[in-house]
Amino acid sequence: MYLYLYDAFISDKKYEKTITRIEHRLTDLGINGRIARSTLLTNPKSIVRDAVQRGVKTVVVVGGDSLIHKIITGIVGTEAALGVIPLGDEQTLATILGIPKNEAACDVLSARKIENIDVGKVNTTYFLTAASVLSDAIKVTCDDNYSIRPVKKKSQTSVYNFRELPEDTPASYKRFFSPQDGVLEATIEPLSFSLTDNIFKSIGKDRAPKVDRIDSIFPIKKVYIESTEPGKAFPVIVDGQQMLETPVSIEVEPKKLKVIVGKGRLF
Amino acid sequence: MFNNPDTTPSSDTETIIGSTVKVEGDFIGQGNIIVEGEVIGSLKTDGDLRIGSRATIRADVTAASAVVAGTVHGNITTQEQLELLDTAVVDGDIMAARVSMVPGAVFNGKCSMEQKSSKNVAASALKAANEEIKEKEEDK
Repeated sequence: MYLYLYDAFISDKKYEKTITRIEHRLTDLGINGRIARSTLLTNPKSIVRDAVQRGVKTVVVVGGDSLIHKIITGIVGTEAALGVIPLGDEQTLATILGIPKNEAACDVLSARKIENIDVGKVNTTYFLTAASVLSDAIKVTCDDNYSIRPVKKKSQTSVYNFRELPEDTPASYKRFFSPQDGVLEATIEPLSFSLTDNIFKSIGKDRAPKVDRIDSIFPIKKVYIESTEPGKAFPVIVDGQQMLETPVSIEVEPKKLKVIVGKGRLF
Repeated sequence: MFNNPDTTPSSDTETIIGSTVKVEGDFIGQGNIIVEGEVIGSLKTDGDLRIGSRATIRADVTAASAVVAGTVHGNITTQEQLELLDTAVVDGDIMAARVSMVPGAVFNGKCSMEQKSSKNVAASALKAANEEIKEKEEDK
């Protein structure tokens, strides 16, 4: 049984024809199902959780990263699989999973190639890509054994479950950042405030940060990140979608999420 | 850092402790480790260890083998080879099956190379470290 959860923004008229084509394709493939819409008045996490409890085996987000991030808590650790039909601009997760845009995604759903991937957990919030702290005044305690402190100003600490690497990345780095290795990678790197990066961003061409900006990589299962400035908390950006505050506890939950993937997946 | 062939990770590198980081505590790694920063406490791995020229380690070190180009204030124990490069400074005892020291390296301490004892001591230390990891994982 399929649940299709439509993102709020796709009620815009510009998506009308695309949605019609998608719905026809799903019917042709025999994988149409119940449709629910995420609006200001609905709680998408609750919709998904209730559906999974009632026996839905596949939850498909029709939209972008923001909605995926909101609902994964309702699927992690269950037998339900997450599918995506990417619409809109923010498509980091669909790219990672190898899902093509618009109605081409329907064929990927129909093929139903499922992988179990790790998820990260920041306090009680799950994440698929990364949690980042944009400050160097922090202490990171890893696996209850040792602590890490950045000694250089203007650095950021990130905990990655998955990171897209540029094509020219040396092969020896490609073993890091896999969402199926059972660990997270804590990294220290300079803050990404370069003028060149901002120029590229302004013309819609985000560049994946080069790996030679990473100074340190620690494979970990659990970290505790706290501020070293008494009384001061720092923002923690989760999956680029949600902001929490230090102190935070981050751990990996290995192979806890089933996802439908395409041939072009990045892992 | 990563354009430096001396610190470019091999395909087996598990951990990179960069020059902008300070690590304190009992670091137990599984796999190869590159150190360019500061480590205080203890550093153990069952893999190979590369200590870069900018690294400062105030810890006892245990590894399968090690190449040292930085500063170590502590004892070094390896199961196999220990190599001190020309920028290495070691204040502590070393125990290894094989030792290589190039001109320029500074070493102040005792050196033990009896094959049987150094291998046994290193193997015991690594076994204890691995058991420690397992115990902690079981407690969780």
